[in-house]
Amino acid sequence: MDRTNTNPTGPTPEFVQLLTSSQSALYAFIVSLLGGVNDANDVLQETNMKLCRKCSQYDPQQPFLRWAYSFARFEVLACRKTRQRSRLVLDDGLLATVAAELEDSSEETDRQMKMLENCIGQLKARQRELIAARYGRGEAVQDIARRLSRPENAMAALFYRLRKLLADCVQLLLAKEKEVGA
Amino acid sequence: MKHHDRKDFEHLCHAVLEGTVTESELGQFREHLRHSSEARKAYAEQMQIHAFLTWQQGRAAVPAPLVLPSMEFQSSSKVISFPFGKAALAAAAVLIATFAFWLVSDRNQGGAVAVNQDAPVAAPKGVMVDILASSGTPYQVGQRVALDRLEMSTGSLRFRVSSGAVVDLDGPVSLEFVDPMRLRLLLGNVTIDVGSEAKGFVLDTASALLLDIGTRFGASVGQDGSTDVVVLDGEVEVYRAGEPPTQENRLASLYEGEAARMTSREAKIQRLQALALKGDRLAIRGLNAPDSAVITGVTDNITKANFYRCYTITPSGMGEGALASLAHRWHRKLCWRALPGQLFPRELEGADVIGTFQRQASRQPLADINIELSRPCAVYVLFDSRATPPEWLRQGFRDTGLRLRSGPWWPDLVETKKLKPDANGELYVVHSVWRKDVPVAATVTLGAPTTKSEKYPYAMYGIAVKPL
Repeated sequence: MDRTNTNPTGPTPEFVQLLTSSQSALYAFIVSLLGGVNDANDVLQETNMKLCRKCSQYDPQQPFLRWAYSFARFEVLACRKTRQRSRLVLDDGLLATVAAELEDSSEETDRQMKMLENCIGQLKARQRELIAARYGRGEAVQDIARRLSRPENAMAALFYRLRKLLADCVQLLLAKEKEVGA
Repeated sequence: MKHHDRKDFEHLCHAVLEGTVTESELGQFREHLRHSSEARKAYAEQMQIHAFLTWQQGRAAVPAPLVLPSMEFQSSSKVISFPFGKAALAAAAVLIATFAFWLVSDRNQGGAVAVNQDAPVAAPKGVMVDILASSGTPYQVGQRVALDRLEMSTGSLRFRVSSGAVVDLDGPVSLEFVDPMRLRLLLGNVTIDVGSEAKGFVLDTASALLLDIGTRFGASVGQDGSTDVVVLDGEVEVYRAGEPPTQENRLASLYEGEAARMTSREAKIQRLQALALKGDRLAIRGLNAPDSAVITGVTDNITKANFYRCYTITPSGMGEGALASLAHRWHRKLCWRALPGQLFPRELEGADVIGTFQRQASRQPLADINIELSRPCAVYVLFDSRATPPEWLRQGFRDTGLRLRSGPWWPDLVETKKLKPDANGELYVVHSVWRKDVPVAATVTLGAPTTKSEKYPYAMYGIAVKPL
């Protein structure tokens, strides 16, 4: 592991602030490229350390996330080398395509977490309970399906729709916020 | 995508996301992504929301923001040089857990700050636990390990004991695993979710024995051996340490929304008036961490015996879904939310939230609430907009025009009788947001929401504090 600190003075408070507020967005980027949450924590930690070491190279005039994503992408590639190739969700070509598309839509990612909280608040109580079971208590979808006497496929489809609903809601609120700010 | 393709894609995408996809399904999935930008967009959308939800609910196990004391970070190990200037220290605190080893590797700059870099130590034999979340520890999510003692100076961990109880803890912590239904907390903070499987779970400390009868509770043991306990859901019985949990030895039964302190095994049990929580999962911050960077205490003038209701402080927690009030018997846990179709007011986002408790003005005694502030702050009172604002509020605060709602409330309560359900069939109370700027560190006293002689069939006010 490279422990060379290329920035002897260390990150500034402003840099640390930027990095802190970008954690969820970086995590989401890494999860998307890995195709799941396995190893995402480790990759994020490696990315954070690399970003801190290279903080002097960051130009504050440039969007922080776009710059940080390039480091995250590199760390994802490094992580993939340790995995069995047949189990990689994205092959090399797809990874490059998906990463580029995500990088292009990176501007608003740091506000999306706030919006998501708002959107969860707008779900029906039963939908919120499903989210809490799957993501809060860590229940497997098949266990939730069994507990609620629902077919597993139907429950999987329900979770897909719930995530879609939340994604649409986040986009709507972001657009609304832009209108207010404009 | 055609309808059939879309259904196929949704099934595959879900399997990918849940990690249950087979190799042949993976091949089909990649084909979808290669040939359809719509599929790639849907994949990115699903993964992003999945990641955010995982992150938001804490299962991502990447460090939740830590608010460290402004003093030096104490260590039992070596002193190292800190590469940041002192001014950067506070901002850097949130990343310390992640970067501990990186910081340790830099020894040539800045003022000396001690960082404890001890790795968690656990003996190989003991109680089986499944690691659910891990940050700054050598344990991996999904790992199953046997523990009989856990010493952790930094980092955070969530695990499920074989009895079914789920334990959240942060370093510094020292914990012994007696058996799957019994832990001994020597130092630090734990939050335990016993669920329905592990009723009768026991947590021992130097000053108390906590018997959990189906609940979620937090406990914190300080350096002096004193114990704080807060019940977040259900009921906990508190007994004197070292004595059998019999009726005669029971000191108190605490219900959700109640908190108490035992300073020693001989001492009387005391009401704990306020305590700090962190995050959506309501974990206790405990005796070993500061409540907040701006609020140094919350007290009231209630002197009723056997009264254990507590105020909660969630540092920087104000936002959609922030805790307004812990559940208590006939009251649900209440959260702050934006009005339907509106954004959460940005002025309030990130403020420290003080959770109050309901029925303050009716069955429980009326109280003044004292908030000790360590620096200049804006203090917000979130007042039930149906009620007449009391004199102290009208005189000392100004209505900002902002509105929030608390809920969801149970129906048929005195506070909700005249409320109409929202589009989802849930009951919310609208609050007006009042603000007062306090230009110096001071104690601010908030009065009762009404006078003693009046009935008050409304919600208790909420409180938020933001540094100026």
